Amino acid sequence: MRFLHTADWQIGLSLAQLGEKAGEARKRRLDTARSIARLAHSEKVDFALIAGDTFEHNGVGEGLIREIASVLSSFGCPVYVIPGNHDPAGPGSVWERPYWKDCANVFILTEPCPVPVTGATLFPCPARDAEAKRDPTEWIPPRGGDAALRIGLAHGSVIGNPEIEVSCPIPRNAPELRGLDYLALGHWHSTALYPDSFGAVRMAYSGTHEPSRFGETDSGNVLLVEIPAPGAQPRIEARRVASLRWLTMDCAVGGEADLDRLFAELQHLEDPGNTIVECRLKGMLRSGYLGHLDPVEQLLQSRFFFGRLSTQGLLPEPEDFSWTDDLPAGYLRRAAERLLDQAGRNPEPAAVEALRLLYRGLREVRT
Amino acid sequence: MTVSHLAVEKFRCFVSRTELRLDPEGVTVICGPNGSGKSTLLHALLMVLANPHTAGGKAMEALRPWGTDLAPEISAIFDHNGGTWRVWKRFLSRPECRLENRTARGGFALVAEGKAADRKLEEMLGLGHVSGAAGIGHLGWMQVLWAPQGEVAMPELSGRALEDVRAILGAQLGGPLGARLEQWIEGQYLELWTGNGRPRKAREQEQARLAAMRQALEEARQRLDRVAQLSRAVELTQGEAQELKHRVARMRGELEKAEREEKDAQFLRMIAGNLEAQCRLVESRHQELKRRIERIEALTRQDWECRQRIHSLEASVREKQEAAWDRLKWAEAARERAEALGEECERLRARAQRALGFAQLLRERDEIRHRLRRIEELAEHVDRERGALEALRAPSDAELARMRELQGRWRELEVRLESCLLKVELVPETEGSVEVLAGEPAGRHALKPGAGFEVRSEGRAEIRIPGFGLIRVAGPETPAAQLRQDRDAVASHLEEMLRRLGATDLAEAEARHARLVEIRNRVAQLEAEQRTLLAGSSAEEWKQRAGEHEAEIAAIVGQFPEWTAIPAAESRQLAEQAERELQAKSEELRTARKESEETLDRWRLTQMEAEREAAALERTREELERTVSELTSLASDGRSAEQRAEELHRLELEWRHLKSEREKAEDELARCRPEGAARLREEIQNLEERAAQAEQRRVQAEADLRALLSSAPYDEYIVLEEQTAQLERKIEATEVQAEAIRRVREAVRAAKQEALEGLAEPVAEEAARILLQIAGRRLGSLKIGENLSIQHLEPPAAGRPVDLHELSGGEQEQIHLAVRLALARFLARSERQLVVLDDAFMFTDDERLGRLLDLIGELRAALQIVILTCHPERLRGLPGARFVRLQNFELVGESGGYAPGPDGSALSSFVPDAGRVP
Repeated sequence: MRFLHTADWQIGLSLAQLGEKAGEARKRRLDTARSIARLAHSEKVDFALIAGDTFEHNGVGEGLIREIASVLSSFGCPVYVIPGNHDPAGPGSVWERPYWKDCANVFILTEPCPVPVTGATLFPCPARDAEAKRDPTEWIPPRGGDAALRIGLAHGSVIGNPEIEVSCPIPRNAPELRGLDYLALGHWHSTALYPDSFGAVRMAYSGTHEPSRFGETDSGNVLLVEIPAPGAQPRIEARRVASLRWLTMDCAVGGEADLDRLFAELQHLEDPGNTIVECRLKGMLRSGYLGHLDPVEQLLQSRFFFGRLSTQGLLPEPEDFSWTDDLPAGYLRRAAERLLDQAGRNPEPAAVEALRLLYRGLREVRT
Repeated sequence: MTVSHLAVEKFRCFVSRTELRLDPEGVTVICGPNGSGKSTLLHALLMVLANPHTAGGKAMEALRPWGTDLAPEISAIFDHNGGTWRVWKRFLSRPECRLENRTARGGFALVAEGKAADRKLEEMLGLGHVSGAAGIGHLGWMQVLWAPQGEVAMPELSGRALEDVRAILGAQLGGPLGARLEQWIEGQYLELWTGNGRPRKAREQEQARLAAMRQALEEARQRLDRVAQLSRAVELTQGEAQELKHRVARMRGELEKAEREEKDAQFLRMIAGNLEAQCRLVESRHQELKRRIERIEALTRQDWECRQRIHSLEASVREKQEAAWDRLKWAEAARERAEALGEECERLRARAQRALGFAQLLRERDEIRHRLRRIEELAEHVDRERGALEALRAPSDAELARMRELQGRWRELEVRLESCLLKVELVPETEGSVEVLAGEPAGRHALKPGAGFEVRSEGRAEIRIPGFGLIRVAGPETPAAQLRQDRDAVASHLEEMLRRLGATDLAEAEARHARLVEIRNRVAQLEAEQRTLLAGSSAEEWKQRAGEHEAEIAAIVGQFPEWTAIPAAESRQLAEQAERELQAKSEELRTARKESEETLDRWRLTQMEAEREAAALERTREELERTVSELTSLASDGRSAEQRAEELHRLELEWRHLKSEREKAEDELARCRPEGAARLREEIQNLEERAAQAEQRRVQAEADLRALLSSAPYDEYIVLEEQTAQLERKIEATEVQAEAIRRVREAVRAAKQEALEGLAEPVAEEAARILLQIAGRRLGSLKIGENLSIQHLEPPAAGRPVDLHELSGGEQEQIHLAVRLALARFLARSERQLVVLDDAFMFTDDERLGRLLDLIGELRAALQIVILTCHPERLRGLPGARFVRLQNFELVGESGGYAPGPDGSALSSFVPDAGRVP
């Protein structure tokens, strides 16, 4: 048996940090969902599982719901979907809309009761509450004499992972505890596999299909899972499907050469049109070089899908008086020294920007 | 700024048009005798530059040529900030102003006219605003370059003039690059801030837009929360409705059971009701019989008690009536005794009053006797005094007054006579003699050494001294004879009066008169006492009263013979004894009366008790009668007391049986709880209503939820969130930029301000250098304040700061000139400037003037200098100067250097222009 495991599409996700590119990035999530449908088709999977949070919120527009209904209909195989904590089942839920009735291959599992599928039994654990504190898998009956494959589908946090907030806690040994051959999980945005004591992976987060923020370690995948027989070790293949790459570059800056090196590095980054970059500068820089930040910022904004330069960690060098010699001797030079002193003592953005401005002004009037 | 041309017409003494060319590149000396119009030309230049053409007033009217109503017209051509400008003004009548700028082709093009031209000039040259006639002070910062006649001292700078000087000097501190940078900073600043430091409107609008977006975002978030709330509400109401329906079903089963129990309870309630009625009937009969028995028993007891009480009261009434009769008799006896005592008391009171009157009569009789004796003594005394008075020959008051008047008149006449006489006193040193021929004492008299000899005479005196000669003394005519005659008449009259009295002189007469007054006073005193004793009556009347008293006393003694020998002094004790006897008897009477009253009260009390008991006896008899009557009625049922007791016992047993039966029925009824069915029916109805309400709420919440979701609230929320975040970032970046440029501007301004505040020092150093060049080392350095005023000098020889007033007029003049020229040097760094010196070297000696002229020769490289003087010969050493001569308000010539006139005078003529001396 071979099936596709995906989760956390979070269609309609807010991407305020991307500014005017947010709308386009949101559209990419929908496009990637379409590519997953094509993948399911091409891989001829027996069915597909979506482990919650298909939508970011139950209040998304009807158009998006229709779009997703259309995408799920195009999978070419049965698609089993459970609600997650972002789109929980209940009155007003997206899952209560009429569009799903027209999708013959789409099964919205809003009740915790076994669902027989070809050669297996599915144990859905839908979320009804965004902040449930109970193990959603605890209802699953023990294996008993069941000879079919038992596959769980749940949305929650695996206990012991400190990076996930504790809602819908799922025990680390849930497959063993519930007698499951595989437990398809949703909620964690990076792909994560949980091997049991025998090294067999019977529980995994597929992760979100399209990265949603900086800092996600391995997002943008779907899992293709193959289980030859009940009790057999599942074979899991992570397949990358994301169209956008979220890249964080931490650069230690000590001089103009570092800025030049960063500039060159950014120039040589591949696939800039599908890359979201955040450059975080740290260190001390002579005030005279503050002007060199402008080309870096311009490059980030013009070359990439979205680029951002963070200079909050960058401080002006306090003893740097080299560039003030270019100012006429007297009160202008004294004013520059005072600004430099202020920025050294309290390097808040306005203080650093003041130096940058004076430097820029000097450069402009000299030319 | 430099000026190259000035034209004046119809301006004060310059009636016809006068044109003056000034050398912008060098020194121009305008010379002429006093009153030739030099300072007027300078005034005209001030007017055309600084005075608004529309100005009026008395000072302005004085600008017209004397005795005319001509309108002054002035024009000037000047260079400023790299351009050449021409200004023309007409004042007072049809005022007009034109400001033109030299074009590339050499002509002039109009830039502004009228008030706009005035404002443009004011702005361009940094002039002070003026409404009337302008003075040097209105030249703004340029006044440091203009030293008018007699005002070579540095002006006190303040306000805009001082700021402008500082700004010009400050611009030089930063140089052209600094100026451009400052301009760039100002440009950047003004993009984000207004001139007075407020955020630009665009920034405020962005902030307002952000606030509105945040508000909209908050509202969108609340709509999302509302989705969750409504979803929960639907679930909750659905669950609540189902739960309520379940409870209704359960309670309907309970209701059926309760209704069965209710029927049983109705039967039991009927039985219990019947038993209750029977119970009440038997109880009523029992109570009635019980009351009858108890009443018969009570009445029987009451009958016996009444009879006992009647017997007792009858005995008591009799006893009380007897006691009352006895007490009445005692009271009568007491009253009689009290009456007897009362009569005795009356007798004693009359005796006491008689004794008191007797004592009074005796005292009065003795007093009258004493008074009569004293009256007789006084009469005898008065007679004796009157006898003495008749024996005394004393003057009366009038006679004494007349004698005193005559004595005074005599003295007055004597003094007047004395003053009329000539007096000659001779005081000889040796013995000799003198013969008085005319005067008193007449005749010959011996003279003794040291003893004065006085001669008196009327009008004239003649004295012959043997061996010496005759001395004649003459005085004016006097009335001495008349005075002497009057004096003698007065003396004769006085002596006659004294003689009649037998007195020798006035003093004796006065003594007799004093004795007379004394006796008279004493007689008056005795007579007054006599009148007091008589008290308005005569002595006979007093004697008659004494007789009446004697008669009354004799009558009393006849009534009480025991009082015969009692003297008046003891009569008082007699009266007091009688009073004491009366008091004792009165006390006895009071006791007797009190005893009589008390006996009477006791009788009344006993009488009242007897009457009260008689009334009680009557009431008891009536009560007995009623009791007997009622008892007879109650006992008329034909039953005995025993029969009644048996009937009562039977009724009690029956009542107890019925009560027990009824309680059993009620216990059974209570166990049935028939009210449970009603309660259940009520609860079921209540639950059904609540279920319906919950269902209604669910439907409403579902409808609201559907309506809310149909507007895609989340899509709206994220769009708003993204737009808000974008705007926040934009505003944050702008605010950082705004704050940054503000800091840069503030830092530059603060540093510049500090630098400007220190400008005085280089100016002072430059002035000291100039002063060194003019006056040598003597004056040393000088100190200049922040407002560029001269504070003091520091001459090396003085060893202390020296005030300007401690120096000579010439040195003061040179110091002010040095500071003006030092400032001019600084100010000319950015643009060539015009320096005007009107009679500025008045007090400077020739040697220092020579050095000063050398210095001016050096300064012309940077400054245009115009000097006005009436002593051009003093400036003959001024290198490169052009001399212009004024006479009778006309330019009469000019030359490239100084040359005296043909007549040798300094101002008579000029040689033709021979070019400038290098």
